[in-house]
Amino acid sequence: MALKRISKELQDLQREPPANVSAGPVQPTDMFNWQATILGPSDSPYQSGVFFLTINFPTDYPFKPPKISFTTKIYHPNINANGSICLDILRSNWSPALTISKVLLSICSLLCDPNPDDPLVPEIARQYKQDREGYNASAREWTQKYAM
Amino acid sequence: MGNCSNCVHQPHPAPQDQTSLNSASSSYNTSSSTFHRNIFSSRFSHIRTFPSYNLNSLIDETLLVIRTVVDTDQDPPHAMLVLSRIANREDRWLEVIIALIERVPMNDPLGATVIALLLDECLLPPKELLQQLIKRICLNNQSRIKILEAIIDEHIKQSSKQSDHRAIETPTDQIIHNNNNNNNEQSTNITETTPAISNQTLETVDGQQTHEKINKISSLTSLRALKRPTSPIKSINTSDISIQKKFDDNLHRERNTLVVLGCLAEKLVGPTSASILDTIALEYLIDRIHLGIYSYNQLKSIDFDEKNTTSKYSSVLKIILFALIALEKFSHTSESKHVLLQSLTINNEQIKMNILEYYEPWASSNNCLKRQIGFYAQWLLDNVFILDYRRPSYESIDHHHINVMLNDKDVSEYLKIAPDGLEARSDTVSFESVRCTFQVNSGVWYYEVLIVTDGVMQIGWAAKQSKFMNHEGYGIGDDQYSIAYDGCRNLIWFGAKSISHTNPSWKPGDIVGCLIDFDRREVIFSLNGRSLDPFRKLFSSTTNSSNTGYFAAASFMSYQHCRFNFGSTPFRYPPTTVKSFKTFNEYGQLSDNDKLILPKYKKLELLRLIKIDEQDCILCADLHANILLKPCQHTGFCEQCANKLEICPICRSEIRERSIITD
Repeated sequence: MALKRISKELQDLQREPPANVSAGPVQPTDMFNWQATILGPSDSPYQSGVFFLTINFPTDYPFKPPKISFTTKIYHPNINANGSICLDILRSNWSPALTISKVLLSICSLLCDPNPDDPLVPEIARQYKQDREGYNASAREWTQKYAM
Repeated sequence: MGNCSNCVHQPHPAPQDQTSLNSASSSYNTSSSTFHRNIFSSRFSHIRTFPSYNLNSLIDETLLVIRTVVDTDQDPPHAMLVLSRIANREDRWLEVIIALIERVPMNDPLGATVIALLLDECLLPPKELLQQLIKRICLNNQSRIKILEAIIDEHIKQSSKQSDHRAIETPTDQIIHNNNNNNNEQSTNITETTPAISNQTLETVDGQQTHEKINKISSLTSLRALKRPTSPIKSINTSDISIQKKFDDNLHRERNTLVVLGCLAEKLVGPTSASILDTIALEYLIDRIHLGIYSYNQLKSIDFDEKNTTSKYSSVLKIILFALIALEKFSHTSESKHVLLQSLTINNEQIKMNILEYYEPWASSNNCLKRQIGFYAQWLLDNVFILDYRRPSYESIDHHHINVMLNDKDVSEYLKIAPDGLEARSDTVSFESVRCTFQVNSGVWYYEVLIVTDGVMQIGWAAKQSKFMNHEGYGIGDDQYSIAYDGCRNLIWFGAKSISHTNPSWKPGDIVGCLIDFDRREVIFSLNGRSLDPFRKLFSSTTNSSNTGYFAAASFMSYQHCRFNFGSTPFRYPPTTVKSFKTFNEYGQLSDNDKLILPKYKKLELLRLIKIDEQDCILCADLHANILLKPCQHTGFCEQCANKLEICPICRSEIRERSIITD
């Protein structure tokens, strides 16, 4: 059942590709394992970076959320050294009506507007709140180092 | 919950908990971040540095303790948490990975699994760190591969001694060896090696070495003619022996290095994975894959079975196996796949083939290591490296005597099933499960399982309701609807709780027997005919499924493999405690189409042909959407999906009523 839904999402993504994100199976033989890219939003310190993510669909997708994580290192209060993302819709607020396309766009907005009140990396969250310039500089530096 | 992966990733799991854990291809999800944040930071926030921790003792303790984690509510081993925490620091990552490679022993059934689990949880290494690691672990490839080849030589000698009654073909003049003939061992220059070069080196045979080998062979032949060699043949000089002794203690490093390479390839799939192969790692990997055809002609003529699973030659076989596993994981990245396919092609005067075709016939070997290599090679040929001239094994196999199989439509995503539908293995960090095609609900039934690997598998009986939650680590025996035998940790699993049993730990080649008796309402497991006391819990639970019936079923942790016998061949240990029993194969029925275990890419080709109607359910994209949710009035769902919902997926308001829309 999940296969059919995943297949439909892929068709929809190909028909109407959303701006600044792309996604598809890593290899044509495995529909449950995708790779995605996000272009760093222009109004953020991640600008011009290309960030890779992996997406894993659970067997009972869409009743359970997909597992999404960054494979490119990124300096962000809600994304840790493993690439894990702290985003409510990927956890408790998941809805089966959400799609990969919508989730990737939410991750884009998380890049523009971090959520320092629910941090995964408390040090970066603190810096984001208290020293925005320092945060911007570090995020830009990491983007140049790892995502370009 | 029966597996370590679960213990590791989910400190306080509950079956109904929808949050998920680590995934098959190493993505990091929100709940594993919870794990890091809550578990690690709350327990270890006071630890700023780790001056008192000895990595080796942490690894030893992890391996020791992980086998005793037997309960859902138990935390992951403390030592493993500390290790994971240390590995998450960029300045210590390299140190931890190296320590794992150096320390994890070859013959621990959970050794490779522990490495995979730890790597799955640790940080994304920046490029420089990755390059440093590869430089260190793939160092001295040339001399290392020579020592591995020396082990094969020694094995050929020993085995030809043992089998001197067999007719031996005259060895041909040329000996294939994939060793780079360049004798100076400047591993720093290896980066320039390309697949084309490796192929070339295959064709060229160093004259001197060949000469040496021929001498060895002729001396072998003459010794064999004596019929009664009294002492082991010693042709290696003493300095060779001392080097080799030193290396023998290090064979585990070879295996562990390949486990690490495979895990990194999987975790960093995409450009980073491809960049790993841009280094000496490619040659390192390919040289080990080619080890099996080193001394091709001799091995071919003396193909005997090595029973001793801890011998040096068995270690070489394990190295080949883990090289194939790493190969598969690198092939997930399409730009690497092409490079790898080229490196697998052998093209010289003697043979023209893909190296995997050489290994494929090993799939039916009685040697459990060779069997795994053969299985893997066949799976790769059917699923990944498709050769246009080769008839896929799922089409050429003879199924006519098989009436019950593992159900390739009732299986979690990453389990690999053999073309005859009776053998399966898993190579991901998730806990993969499968049910068979035949269900029983009365009488007495029996099946047997050949244990190919000695790690964690949970083998037994499962009802349809039993859910496969592979990423969370729940499998057979981890709910009220299934019961399973675990011969690695010596436990019976039922309802995610375990009961220890008195059978010895299983070894490759052992037979697990599974008997279900609906008349006496009990389940009896056995190992090599040694039966345990009957278990009745499956039938006493309130959520009893004895009316709907049970399937043979099993769950596999990483790198585990077994073969089922549903009665298509005679049983090794038919049950003696019951008067009579039935076998699935006598009563099962499958159409030719049902018997076809298609590779995923074929299934997907078929799937793409199916049109999805705009009137179909927005959730499953499968069934007709005919349900109206009340009171919110949202539509677009089929009945099946609507029944799984508690709140409206669109507005999140509570569902009071699901009414069918009639046009």
